Amino acid sequence: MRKYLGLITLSIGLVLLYFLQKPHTVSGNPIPPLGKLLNPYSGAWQNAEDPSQYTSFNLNSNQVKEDVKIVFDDRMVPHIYAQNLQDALFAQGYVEAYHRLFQMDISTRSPDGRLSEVLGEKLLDYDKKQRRLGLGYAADNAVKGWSKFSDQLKNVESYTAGVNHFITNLKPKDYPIEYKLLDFEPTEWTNRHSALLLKAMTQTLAGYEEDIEMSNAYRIFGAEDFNLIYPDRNPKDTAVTQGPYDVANTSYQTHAALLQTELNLPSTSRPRSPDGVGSNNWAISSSKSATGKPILANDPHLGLSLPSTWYEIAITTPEFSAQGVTLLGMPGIMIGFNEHIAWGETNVGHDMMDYHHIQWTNEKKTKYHFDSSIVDADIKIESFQVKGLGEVLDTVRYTHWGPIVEDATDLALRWIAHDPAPTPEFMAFVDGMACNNYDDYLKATAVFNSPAQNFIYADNKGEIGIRVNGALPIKKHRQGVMISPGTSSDDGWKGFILRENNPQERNPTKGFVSSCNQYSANEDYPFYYNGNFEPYRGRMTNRLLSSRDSFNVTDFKAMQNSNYSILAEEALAVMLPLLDSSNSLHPQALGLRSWNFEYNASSIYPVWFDHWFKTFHEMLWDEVYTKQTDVALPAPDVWVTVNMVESVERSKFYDIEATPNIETLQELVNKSFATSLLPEPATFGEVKNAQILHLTKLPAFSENLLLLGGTKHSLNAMQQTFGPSWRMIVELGDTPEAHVTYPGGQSGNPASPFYKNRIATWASGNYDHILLAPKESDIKTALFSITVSNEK
Amino acid sequence: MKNSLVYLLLIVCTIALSLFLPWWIIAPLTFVFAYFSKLTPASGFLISFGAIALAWLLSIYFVDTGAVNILLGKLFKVNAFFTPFIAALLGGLVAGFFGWSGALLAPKKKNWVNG
Repeated sequence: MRKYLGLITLSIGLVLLYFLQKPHTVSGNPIPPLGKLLNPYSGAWQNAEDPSQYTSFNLNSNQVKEDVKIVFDDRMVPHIYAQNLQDALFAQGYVEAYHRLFQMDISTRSPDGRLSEVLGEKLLDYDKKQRRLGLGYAADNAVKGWSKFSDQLKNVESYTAGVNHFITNLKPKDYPIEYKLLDFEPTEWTNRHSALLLKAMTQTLAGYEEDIEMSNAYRIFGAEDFNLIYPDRNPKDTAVTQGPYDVANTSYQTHAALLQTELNLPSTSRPRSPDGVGSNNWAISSSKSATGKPILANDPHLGLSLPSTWYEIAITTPEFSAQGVTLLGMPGIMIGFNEHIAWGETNVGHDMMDYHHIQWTNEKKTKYHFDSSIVDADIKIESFQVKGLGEVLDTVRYTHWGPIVEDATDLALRWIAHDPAPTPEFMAFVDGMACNNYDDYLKATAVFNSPAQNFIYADNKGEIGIRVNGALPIKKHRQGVMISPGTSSDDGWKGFILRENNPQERNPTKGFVSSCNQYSANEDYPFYYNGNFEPYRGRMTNRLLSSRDSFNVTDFKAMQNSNYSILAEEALAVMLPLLDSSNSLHPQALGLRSWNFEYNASSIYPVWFDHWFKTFHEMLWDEVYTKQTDVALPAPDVWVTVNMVESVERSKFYDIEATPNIETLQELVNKSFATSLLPEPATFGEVKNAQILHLTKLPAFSENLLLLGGTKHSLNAMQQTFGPSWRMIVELGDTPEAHVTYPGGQSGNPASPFYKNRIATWASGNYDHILLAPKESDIKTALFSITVSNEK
Repeated sequence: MKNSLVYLLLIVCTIALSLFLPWWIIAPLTFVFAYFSKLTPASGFLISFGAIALAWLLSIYFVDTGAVNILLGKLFKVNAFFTPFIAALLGGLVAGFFGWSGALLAPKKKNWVNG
């Protein structure tokens, strides 16, 4: 009896042990391996970080040639002091893994379609989409391209070695907490991971197309209405560059064949690039600057996450001393400054993603017509090792153009991300940080291919400049707006614009350069391009910078935090006067008449305006929106609506199709006003409910910020989960002074006091004032330091 | 006396062994202790439970100043104060069952320990 009872209790013990050692799902809720997570010796408590207990330590690695010192300042920013570039990049790899290993792991698994390997079946569809878009294939191509540049590749290899030095010496008890929670282990870092990161960036920033939607719209509305609803350019736009363009007109004068499609795909089935990704940058010349030296500003808008997208870092070698931010996983500094220059980027919205229609010759879809012959498709079997499920296979057909993303469509994707790099593209951010004049900087950044960026520059000798760096395809007129034919090589891009012919400005007489994701060149530019361009922030920046003769850093801070919306200003200017006598006396109309067009968190007016304008916009384009449930159609741009109300008195589009009578513009404005009235007053900040989510979306690791101003079209482009991910202002001079802020913290450890300690400063529109520390003794208060030495 | 000695030894051994062995070492440890020290089944459970729960609590307060408590509290939607006790309860339960079974499965007649 006693023995049986003993065996029973032993069994209960073993079952309990098993339960605590493995992850489970209980009624749909994932339960972490509680024993692994909660025991004091290797569980979450080991991730505790006592700020009073930071201690310095030494590392040994035969990868460094000479001693490297890494000093963490009181903001937990690592300052790397190395005797040569490669040692510095080794240290960069090490500190990035030290603080952000889980983030680096997840953000490279995502493009590679390997999330289901560690997170299970629920991520399999996502993984399949990523593989079908060919992101892993793109990374393979990139690495293949990089191998031709063995001298430069050493830099990536040093970075990789640094990351791996951290990973191989990491004990399970010290794994980032997310590994313990999700029950998997870090794997070795390779150069391909850096390539994956670049491809993920390309997906975020140049993953835009509306080819199917546009083709549908062209078929449904016909050429005339199509051009009215979806015009290529906003005539009010102030492009990044104003010319004159010293380029022989080499563009095709021919118009692209506009392929109509019978495809009726619902909008939801398409992979979409996130709305709201974008950035601002500008720089003023000495003549416009209160300091007498150029001032440069840059704030990239991305999906805000914890850990933060950016990692602040300072690198000093005998050649240079630079500070700024880097994307985790890439060597060098992407946005920053050194003793002489400052630099930054905004995204270029050119369409680099075109779909071509494939004409198969057999039912199995393995052969297709191309250039008057029949060509075999490459069949690629994608294997997914799904956690808890085993291997899952998927077949992807690769054509001359690229992969068939969705088998049902027969559309092959031509995407810049897939191109093997013709240059060592990663060097833009490595060589960039060592430059001290614009010619060198142009040379350093000329290697950058995709995603194309407006690289802005300023130096303490007084030069300012901006250039689109990236491969810009040469297209026929309106090529790639909608689905392209795919049976002839003539249907594709005709190579790329020579880098010296990319849109650019250097020391323009207006005294400033700027870019906010608007068109990169005005209509004089001889090459055709289309894409996704922001219609208001660029105009706002140029309006402000042209409005005065002198600016200082306080002005720049106010600009980066400006919630002013030109959309609201222009729309209300034409909509309010059209309200009839009863509507115009309504409190909401009176309120909007008094509004200063600022999207402040505490204001209720932006809520009223947004609601009214959206209602009006959708009533105006009811011809589009009512069809969207059956067929994928692009949403008309908001600026098209405003321009139309301003200049078109009568249009068939003013009529609401669902009503028996024919509405006029005035009726439409009044009707939309009356139906959009909001009974419950709520402030804009409450309605927006801005938040910064952890990569796993776990609320416990996330930050809910209830009250933030800003909108997609204001310079402070803060939306619910997208916004200014890094704000930087650099005053050039004998010693540069920088003002920086970002919504997060240096550490990726949710239990660290440096995990989200910088959010409050950022949210209140404030900045940290920082100076370069070219010598170790320049760091007044250090938290701790790491010495890397090569002791054989 | 014997029970107190086992209790103390278990705490010390748990902390010492857990520093380099996996957390589940508490299972064989409590089993072996209960088996060879001839605890009664009830004390096999209670002493093992109590020793491991206390060892874990002490260890948790030693490594964490509170940040992880708060984090785990948010994660499991419980008051942060209770999170170390939840951990101690889980460790204690594992230990308790193994201690209980060790005591039950130990041969009854032969006396391994004086007393």
